[in-house]
Amino acid sequence: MTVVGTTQSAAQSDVQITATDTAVGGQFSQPVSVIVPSQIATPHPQPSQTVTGVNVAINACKSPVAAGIGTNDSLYTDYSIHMTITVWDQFGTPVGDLYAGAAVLEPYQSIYIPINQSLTSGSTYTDPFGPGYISVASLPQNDPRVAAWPSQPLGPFPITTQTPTTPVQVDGFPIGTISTRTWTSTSPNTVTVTWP
Amino acid sequence: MYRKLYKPFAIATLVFSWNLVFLSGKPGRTGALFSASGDDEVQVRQLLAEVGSKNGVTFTIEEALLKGGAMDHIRSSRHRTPPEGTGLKAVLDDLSQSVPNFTWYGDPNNPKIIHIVDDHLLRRQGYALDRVIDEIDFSGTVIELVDAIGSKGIPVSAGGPMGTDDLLSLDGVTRVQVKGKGLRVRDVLSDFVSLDGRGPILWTAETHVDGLDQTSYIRFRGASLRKPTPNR
Repeated sequence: MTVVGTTQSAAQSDVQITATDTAVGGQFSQPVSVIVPSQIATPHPQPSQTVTGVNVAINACKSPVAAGIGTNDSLYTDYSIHMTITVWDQFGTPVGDLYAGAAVLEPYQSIYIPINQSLTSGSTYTDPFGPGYISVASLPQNDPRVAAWPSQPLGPFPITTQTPTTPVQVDGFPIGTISTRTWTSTSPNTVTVTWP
Repeated sequence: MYRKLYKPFAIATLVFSWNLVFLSGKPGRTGALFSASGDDEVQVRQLLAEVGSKNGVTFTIEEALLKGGAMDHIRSSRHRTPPEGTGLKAVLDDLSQSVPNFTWYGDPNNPKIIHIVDDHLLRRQGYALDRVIDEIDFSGTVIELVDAIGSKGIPVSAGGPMGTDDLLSLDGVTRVQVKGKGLRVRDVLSDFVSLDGRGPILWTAETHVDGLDQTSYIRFRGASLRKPTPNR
């Protein structure tokens, strides 16, 4: 049996479900909670590591996602850290496997679109975060340079820092706006994430 | 691509037990994309998105790259949330006071465009966006437009350093037609692209100011979700 709540629980077990056995007239009631993805778990991960870089042809269907380049590919050297983000429910506990496979979404203009990552049964998703370098901004996917890109020399490692603002949803539920997370890249090939 | 937009739903299997039972829920309205959410400060990029949307204007942002410094130092600067009803000019003037190197002016050809320029780049000799193109007759995507400008010996690129979050908003599909003589690069990038349905940031340009690399890295942002209608 599949049941979907219509309103998220404000308190644990604040909804009652009653099942009736019409054959014998018996009833069974059970308190339940309607759980939604609601927040990013704390403490926030703040990794620092050496990154080797990898050449990837990115587009709207890849991760990291480039939603606005249509059916073409960008030739990108990815130096990001693939962070593991844990999602909690409105009560501050992992959402468990209820939303396993749910899409993680971020805004493209005013519409939320998939970043091509999904929630695991352990309430986590992978979030590529960090620097990279675009060598060719847009190429048709059948251009031979796309297929050859993974084995080409890496693009330069940028020495810089960035603090983006990223509202995030899981399965359509807002889990917060990330606006204090910073990546900083330093020589040689080190990326550090701070997230106060 | 835009026909495949994600439509949220949630289904879960209900498991009866004597322990607590958890159901999934259906998402409701999410409200404004950006909000201060109780904080007194927001990033400039959030503020610009809000005032741009409220006032029907679009911004271009030219930022200076200092060695090892932030590639988004204007956009990521934090600013107090202005009181409700604060006018556009008041917000921008306030940002000029509080955000280092923040200058702004209205586009001379289109009142719906406001240019934000890091003052490191003002009066910078040879600065790509101040260069004048003798003649241009172009039709193609905005990425190809940047390449076409670069092919005239002007140091611009649609590639270069870019963080993972910036990739999401990269626009590579908008088509544009540009024809004219004696046009400034900034005007070529701004005045021929339909603003209809676009996001609050038309493009950003990042330029090193402390090394040999004079290239301005130009990224168009937030392609229109509607069919284009030329604005010029």
